Amino acid sequence: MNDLFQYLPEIFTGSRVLVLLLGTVGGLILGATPGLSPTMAVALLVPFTFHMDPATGLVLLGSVFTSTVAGGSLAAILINIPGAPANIATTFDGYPMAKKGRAQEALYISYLSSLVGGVFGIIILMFFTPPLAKLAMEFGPSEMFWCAMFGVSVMAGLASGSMFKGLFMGGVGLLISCIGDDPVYGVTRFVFNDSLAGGITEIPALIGIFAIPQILGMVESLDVVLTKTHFRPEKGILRKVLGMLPGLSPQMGLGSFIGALVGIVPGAGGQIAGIIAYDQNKKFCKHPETLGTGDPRGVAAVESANNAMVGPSLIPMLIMGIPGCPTAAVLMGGLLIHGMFPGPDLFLKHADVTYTFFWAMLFAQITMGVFGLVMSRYSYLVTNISNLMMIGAVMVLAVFGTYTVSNNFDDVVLMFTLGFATYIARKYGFSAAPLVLGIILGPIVENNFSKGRMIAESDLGMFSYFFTGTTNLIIIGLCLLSLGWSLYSEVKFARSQKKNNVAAAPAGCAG
Amino acid sequence: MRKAALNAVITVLATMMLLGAAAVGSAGNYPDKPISIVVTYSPGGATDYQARVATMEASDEKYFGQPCVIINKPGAGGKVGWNWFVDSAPKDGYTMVTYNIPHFIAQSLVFETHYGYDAFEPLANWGADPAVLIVPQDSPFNSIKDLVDYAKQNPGKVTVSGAGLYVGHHIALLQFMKAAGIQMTYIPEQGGTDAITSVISGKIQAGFNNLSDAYRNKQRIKILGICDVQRDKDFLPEVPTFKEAGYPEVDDTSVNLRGLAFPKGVDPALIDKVAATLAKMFESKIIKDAMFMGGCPLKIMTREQVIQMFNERQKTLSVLFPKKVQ
Amino acid sequence: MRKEILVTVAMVAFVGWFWWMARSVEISDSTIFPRAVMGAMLVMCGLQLIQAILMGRLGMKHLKSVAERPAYRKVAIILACMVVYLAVMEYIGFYTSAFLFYILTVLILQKRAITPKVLLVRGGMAAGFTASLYLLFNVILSSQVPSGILF
Repeated sequence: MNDLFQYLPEIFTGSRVLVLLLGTVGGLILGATPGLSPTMAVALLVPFTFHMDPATGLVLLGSVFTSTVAGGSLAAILINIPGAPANIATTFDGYPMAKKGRAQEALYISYLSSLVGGVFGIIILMFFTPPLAKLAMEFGPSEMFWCAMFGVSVMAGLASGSMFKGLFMGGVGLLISCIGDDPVYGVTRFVFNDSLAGGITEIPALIGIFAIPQILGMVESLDVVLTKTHFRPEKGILRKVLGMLPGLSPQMGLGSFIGALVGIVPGAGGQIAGIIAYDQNKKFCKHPETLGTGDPRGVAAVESANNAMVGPSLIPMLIMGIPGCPTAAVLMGGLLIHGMFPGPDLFLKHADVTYTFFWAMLFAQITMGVFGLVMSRYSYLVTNISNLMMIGAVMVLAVFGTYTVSNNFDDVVLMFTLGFATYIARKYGFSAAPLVLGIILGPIVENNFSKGRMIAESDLGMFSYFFTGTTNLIIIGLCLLSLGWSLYSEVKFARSQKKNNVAAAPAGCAG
Repeated sequence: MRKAALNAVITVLATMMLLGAAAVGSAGNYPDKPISIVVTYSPGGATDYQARVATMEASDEKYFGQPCVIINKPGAGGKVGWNWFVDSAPKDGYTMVTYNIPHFIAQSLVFETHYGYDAFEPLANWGADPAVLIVPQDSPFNSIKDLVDYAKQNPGKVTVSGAGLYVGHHIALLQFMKAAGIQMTYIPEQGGTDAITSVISGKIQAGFNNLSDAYRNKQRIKILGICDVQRDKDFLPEVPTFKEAGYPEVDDTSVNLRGLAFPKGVDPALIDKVAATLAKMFESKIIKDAMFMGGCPLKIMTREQVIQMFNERQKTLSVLFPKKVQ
Repeated sequence: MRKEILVTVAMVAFVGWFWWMARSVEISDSTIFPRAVMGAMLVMCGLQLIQAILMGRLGMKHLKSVAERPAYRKVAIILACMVVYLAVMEYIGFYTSAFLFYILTVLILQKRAITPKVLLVRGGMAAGFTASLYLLFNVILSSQVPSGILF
């Protein structure tokens, strides 16, 4: 513990403060660009740290990781396109708020929740690393399979409009994620066109599914908007938002907790932290019916969760070399390059670097919060750009963002095709969010199922492998609980609908 | 509307002419612009990381005087990138690709790929990462023999992880099973890190993994053997080879070799020049030190050696993976 | 109601298409997961059909889309522009095509007449936008975006 505070001044030496500031501001901007995910931003920066001393290099990587995760909410709120997979659920309430002219408020809430969640995550990282590291060891194929199934159970809650159509779209997502090579059995599946050989990957799909319908929607309504609303920077919003914070604290608490938990689970867990937090908040809060129509509570839950994921996702990586999320895996490269191998040595031999890194992460959260708030003041510049100007710009950005993910033009065509198909499907009441979730979860569910099946058949048998063991049972219990609650609230909702004698299910435009 | 469209067309033509005039082609000494290196895996993976380290001195005047830019084209275990490379990479000498032996040769034997062992013009090899046999820290197996004895009595019950299908680890296991006459279950993971994780946590009984990754996790696993013709002097001098344990059939075929190649059709004079420069660059002290720090074993091979090695691997691997009847 | 039934038919057709493709997968173990998903999707199709019929019986109507009279003609034009943009971008370069696409969409969609002054303003904006793209992707991220025959 003393060690921790002993290294606090380290962060203020040399150029580290400058690196921290640059990393944070740059990260906020990179994160806001669709396609430039935190993983990519960190991977691109690792080579730059070759020439820095280890601590400064890690300060840079840590601050960029932190701020890119938060930065993604900017695009999600202002143009309804998540900057990274972690921000999918931010669009549900953030964009409706922006449409009502409350963009600045939404952004303030988003950055403040990010700050709260982020600091919570880092504190967990600072003080609970050794005990929690063991937890990651509990997760083998069967546990990961059930975790991913928990994500699948969330799908029903995401569907706006018809639930059956929403779940069908989730199925479409799971199914098209199978396109390409099966990594476990080594056969090629469903490749009906040569450009699909690499499969459908997360980020091009995400960009297409959100950006293309958004652009076409703008074109549709170009003539409808008669009176142009002109947003001005308003004073006193920060005070208003600060006044709202006590009311939002249950959401932030829930979000931070879920985010931290999801962060520790190894694998792609971090991507879905936001969605799970959104779904759980919907289940636990009062008046869930306003969620999805521009409710600040939705933004707070999601943004606190995805930033709370950052710190804990590093825990298993630092002690065991097991990355908690893809970005942590890339960050590990930044450690290795300086000859620092994950393990207890990091806290003994390299304590100076490790603790400086922790402090840097904490300060990065704070700088991120401050700069985010400052940036939000100028959000009216974006909201005032007329749709006419946005259409071309968003399309071009989507194309560039998609291309840079894997430098493959086929991805761009795929992005456009998927986006157009989603646009058509939405006209018939199919919502897009379960589709994206399906694409993200598909590989996790399937790989872990196939691997688990191979392990089970070599020894225990399917039932005892998948359905015994404490961790398995706990996760299965949570899945059932989540599903049961969904059904219960669906029935309750249907009853109250009947009472109100409303003839139709609400056809949402938020999904 | 029609007038608008016509105007738009005129604008397009005008700007095209303007920009066309601005674009000037310049011919000079090679290289006069950055060299692109196509890495067929995602950023952050072992190949990507090593490629970045191995080429970081390129902008030194002693070597190329121009930086190398890494372009990641991941997908389908490298197939997407390599297919793209043989089909449409520019042949002007400014685009190279990283190869992974034995992975890409095994792939070309099993799948219908656009490439084979002779589809590239190899330039130079920088690294060799032998596969090692690992078991969890608390495993009852303390030597290769223990494992073989157990597997003989319990065919198919031992689970073995590796970084994916048809990579060096998979090949090492196939060779090992053939040599010892045993049956084990191979669990392909998403990558080397995932594969070693499942062994550390004891979810899987054994694994073949990269020497470099195993070395980093030395305190948390037991390393039983190394699939190479000789022991590794730098990192793991105490670990015996499979040959010493009585399985000489498990040779260095599974050693993961990484290097750079041009597409077919590049000017032969340029190939020789670049191959020589690369070999010299990999020998530099800065790169050697950086590689050693990251725990990546070096093995620098010249173009001739790499071509010979490609041919040998093709022979051994086509026995292991007989080509499917089309 | 008829529309909803047609939608269900399309849903079943989509699943059928993948089912048909799954037959040619060489290792049948590899199709366990996709087939399970397809089964669940067929269940959803069934429930959707029942819901559609029930709603039809009760004379309920689905809510119409929110925007009044969406400008589908413009959507079609923009879609065509996008397709052309994607088709040519690899040949004339990412930045050039981005510049042209931006100008083109603005000029097509705007209601103002195209005068030299408007052209200049729009051109300037497009150039600024392209320049910032270049700064972000080529300079800061040092990613190699294909240049094609032009810039």
